[in-house]
Amino acid sequence: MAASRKKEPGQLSVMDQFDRMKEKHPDALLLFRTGNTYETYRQDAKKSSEILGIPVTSRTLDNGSNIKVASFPHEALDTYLPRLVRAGMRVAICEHLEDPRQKKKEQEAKHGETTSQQPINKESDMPRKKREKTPQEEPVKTTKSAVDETTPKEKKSESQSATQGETAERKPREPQMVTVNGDKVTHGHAYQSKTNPEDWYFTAKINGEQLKPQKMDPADLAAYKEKELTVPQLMERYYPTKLMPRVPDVAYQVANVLPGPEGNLTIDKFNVYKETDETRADYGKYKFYAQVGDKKMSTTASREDLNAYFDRVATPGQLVERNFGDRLHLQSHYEQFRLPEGIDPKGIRVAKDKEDGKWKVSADLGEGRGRTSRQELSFDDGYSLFKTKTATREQIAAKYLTEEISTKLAAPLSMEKSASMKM
Amino acid sequence: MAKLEYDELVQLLQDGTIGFLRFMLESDNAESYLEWCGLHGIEPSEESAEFYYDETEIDMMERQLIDDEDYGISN
Repeated sequence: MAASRKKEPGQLSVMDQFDRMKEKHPDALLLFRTGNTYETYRQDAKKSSEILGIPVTSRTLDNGSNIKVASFPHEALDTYLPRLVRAGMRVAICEHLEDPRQKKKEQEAKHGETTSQQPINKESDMPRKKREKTPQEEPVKTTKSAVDETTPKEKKSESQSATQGETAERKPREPQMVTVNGDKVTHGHAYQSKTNPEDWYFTAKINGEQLKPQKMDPADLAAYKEKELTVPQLMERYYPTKLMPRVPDVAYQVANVLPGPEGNLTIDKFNVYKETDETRADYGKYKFYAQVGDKKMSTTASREDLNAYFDRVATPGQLVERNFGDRLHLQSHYEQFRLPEGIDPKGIRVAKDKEDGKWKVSADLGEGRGRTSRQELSFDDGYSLFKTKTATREQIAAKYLTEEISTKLAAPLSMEKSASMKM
Repeated sequence: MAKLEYDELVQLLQDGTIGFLRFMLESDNAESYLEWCGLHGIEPSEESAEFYYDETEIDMMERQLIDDEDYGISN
């Protein structure tokens, strides 16, 4: 048996090689080809047995110690390998690499089986879409030329894919783009999900760090396949905040100050958390928390703002302004709202509804188009309008009615109405 | 304490034996996470670790797909 096979002087046994490989790739399940079977050892044998339902046996080594071994016929690789991968295992197959001296001896002895092993990368059952176009990678055990030029971060990232990186020589790549921050984008590509084959994802590396894949819009995928969309364009679409200029480090190191309605407001605390109260409608969603003076506030965060925070392309002050500006009655918050063109500010009405006693806003859309619906004001917006006077009627109308106004202005006047007007 | 393997960490996290903070600090991404906290002016915490995990973590099977340069489309 392979694991107990006598080794030549200076030659590593299978178990020596297993231990050496395991030390380098602790997260990989190592499959060793021995003759007509694939074998897994020790902890890998136990995992393989659980996943594949194959038996685990004990084997006594030359030194008298026992190891666990699980094996299956090499013909079963196509069946078992996908199952291991589907179970979340990172699999590396270690094939024979003939030791010239041993090979010579074996040839002389006319043995068909080789004994010395060196892992080569045949990591998984991935479809090899372009395999036939690319030359087979040499089983060279070096990553020096690529790794030596990387930063510590890049080295760490490479180590996460070590079973591949170890055996496939990687050449330094020309970046597909360089961001305004000087970050290098490489490895931008689209790939198909294994679990949901109808889904495709776009991903890339920045400075060697793998970005979390983003599900692609089918139209983008089609355009990318036709080379109508480039990697920089897809980066812009799927990782916009990675490309934006980062704010100065100091913005996150010192308390930000915002001009409030009655003087400056200091942001004492700002962070992000996930709502854990199952009784709340926003359970499981990410929220921003801010402490400004004696006000402690939280609100559900948009994906855009979460990304802006993660990538530090917006200051805490800007994020507070966007997300809590109404509660703090910030003039700067309301300045972002502008009425669509064609709306006369004189046609804006903010009035208390006689039926329910609530303050509501509506706007006149112009001749022949009538008025918008009446939208109820929040307490904070009403306070900003009437009390602190940091919001104008136009801004309030724009905040509540822009979508409706735009839709109605874009729609053609009905023929019926036009005809009746002519009569 | 011996460093845990990645799949062991994932298992412990899924079991609820460890939280996100412990996961991040034990993982290969610990250095990146701590650097990210420093740059954001926050102390490492369960909340920030969970957010960092969600923003960056890629499951092993997907990582294998990504690492295979012959799999997918590269223009």
